[in-house]
Amino acid sequence: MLNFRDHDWLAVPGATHLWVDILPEDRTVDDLRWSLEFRYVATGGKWRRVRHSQRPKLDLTVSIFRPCVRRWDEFEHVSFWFREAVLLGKTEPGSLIANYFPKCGLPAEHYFLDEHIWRVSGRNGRFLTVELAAFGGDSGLADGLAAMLVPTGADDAPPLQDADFWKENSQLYLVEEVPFGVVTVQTPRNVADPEAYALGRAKSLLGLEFPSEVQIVDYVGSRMTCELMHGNFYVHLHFHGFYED
Amino acid sequence: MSWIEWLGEKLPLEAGVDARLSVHVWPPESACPRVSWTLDLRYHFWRQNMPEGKRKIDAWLSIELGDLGFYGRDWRDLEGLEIRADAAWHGAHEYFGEYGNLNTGEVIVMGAEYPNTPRNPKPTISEVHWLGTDFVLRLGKRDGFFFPLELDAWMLPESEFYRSMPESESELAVFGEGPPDLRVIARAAFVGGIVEIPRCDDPLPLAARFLREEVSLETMHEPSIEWSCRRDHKTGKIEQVPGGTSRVKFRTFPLPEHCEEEEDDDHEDDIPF
Repeated sequence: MLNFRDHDWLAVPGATHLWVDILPEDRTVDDLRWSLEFRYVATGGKWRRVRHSQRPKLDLTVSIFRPCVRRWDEFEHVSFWFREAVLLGKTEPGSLIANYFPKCGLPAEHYFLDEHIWRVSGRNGRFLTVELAAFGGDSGLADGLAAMLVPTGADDAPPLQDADFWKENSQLYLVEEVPFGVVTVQTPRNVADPEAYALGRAKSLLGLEFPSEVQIVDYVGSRMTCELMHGNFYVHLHFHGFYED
Repeated sequence: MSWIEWLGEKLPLEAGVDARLSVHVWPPESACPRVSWTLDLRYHFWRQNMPEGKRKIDAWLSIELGDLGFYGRDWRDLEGLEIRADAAWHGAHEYFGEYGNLNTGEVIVMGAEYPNTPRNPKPTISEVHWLGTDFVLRLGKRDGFFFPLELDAWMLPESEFYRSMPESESELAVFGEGPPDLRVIARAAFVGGIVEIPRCDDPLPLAARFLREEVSLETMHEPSIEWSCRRDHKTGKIEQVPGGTSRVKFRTFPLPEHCEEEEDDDHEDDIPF
């Protein structure tokens, strides 16, 4: 469920996922770069004769956050919500970039929504229930809300606000089932078996095994990438929603 | 008597030619509904007395309904299914599939008329591609794996169907004006389907379990396993990966001896020459 502008939205599986990048020099889980990616397309009966590539679309990325987890299944406790974040001293919810495409052919409207909160409110297998609220740039609304919601002591904590509160008070609000999607392991070229190396890294750093699909990509010769990406193989371990954009 | 009426032309179906009901079952933890039902029907405009090696048809027509939006846990509950596909129905049934493809519930009519034939005297092939959102579908009383089928659909050529702006309220309120462009009175057979299987060494028991759990189907005939493929990053060669993810294709009843299996995806391949 996404509340943004006046559209009804459908999340696009595959493109909506939790993603983590592992570099050769990463030693612990704290070194890893995590991202949450969402893609939504407008839906509803009135859009039935408009190809989905031409409908309004919203791409959201929460990038480079520090979840303080040891294993992937500890994600169900991750929270960058006002109250929990302050109480636990977590203050790095990552950067939120939203690209809204109102119509095919028109340029995207870019939003850098620095004031945002998000949390995982549950887990069902590999799906995490993610709740996120974002606020306009310099409005100061987020600070106001934070002051209102952060308790002075654990005993007099205010009641949790419901979805209607956040729909009314945020610029963008979503609750979505997000699969643990992709682990990308950058693998040195001199490794004998890139797949085995990548699987070993994912297991030792995250406790993750048995991806649905494994893709080994060599960007040498690709015009789409810069030379920086030519040093390693990129092994994409797809744990859910295998998807080629 | 089974027939198709397409743009006013009545096309009788040969005995034994049925519309095909197929099911696609996804594993648990899929980011889409676990079951999708499709319907398709092919019609061939045969040429008589053609020598071996010569094309045996003048034209073909394919009718497809991409997703019935039926989520009953027992395939037998297809009996009595009635769909009136208006804007509200489409709004409620649209979803993205596991691979990010948008599943919509249009009726699609595709076909081709080959050049220099009575149907198409021109020297170039004439292609048919129409779509329709407004349709009424009814499945009648079940007889084994067969259901009486009635389908009325209001269609537009593809060039007129797609638009860049959403429909207005007044446009959405209109349903099926005038006589339908497509009518089908036929028998629909639940012929089989596909079960997607997560990675494992032996997909058949899982396929049987998923079918039993999701659509209450107890028996698969002629199951075949397709392992997922991957490209070797060194040689570029595409290889199957036994033990990886797979899909199991099956039939609900054995194919009659005189029939040949039709492939699902590529019309060109299954045109009999």
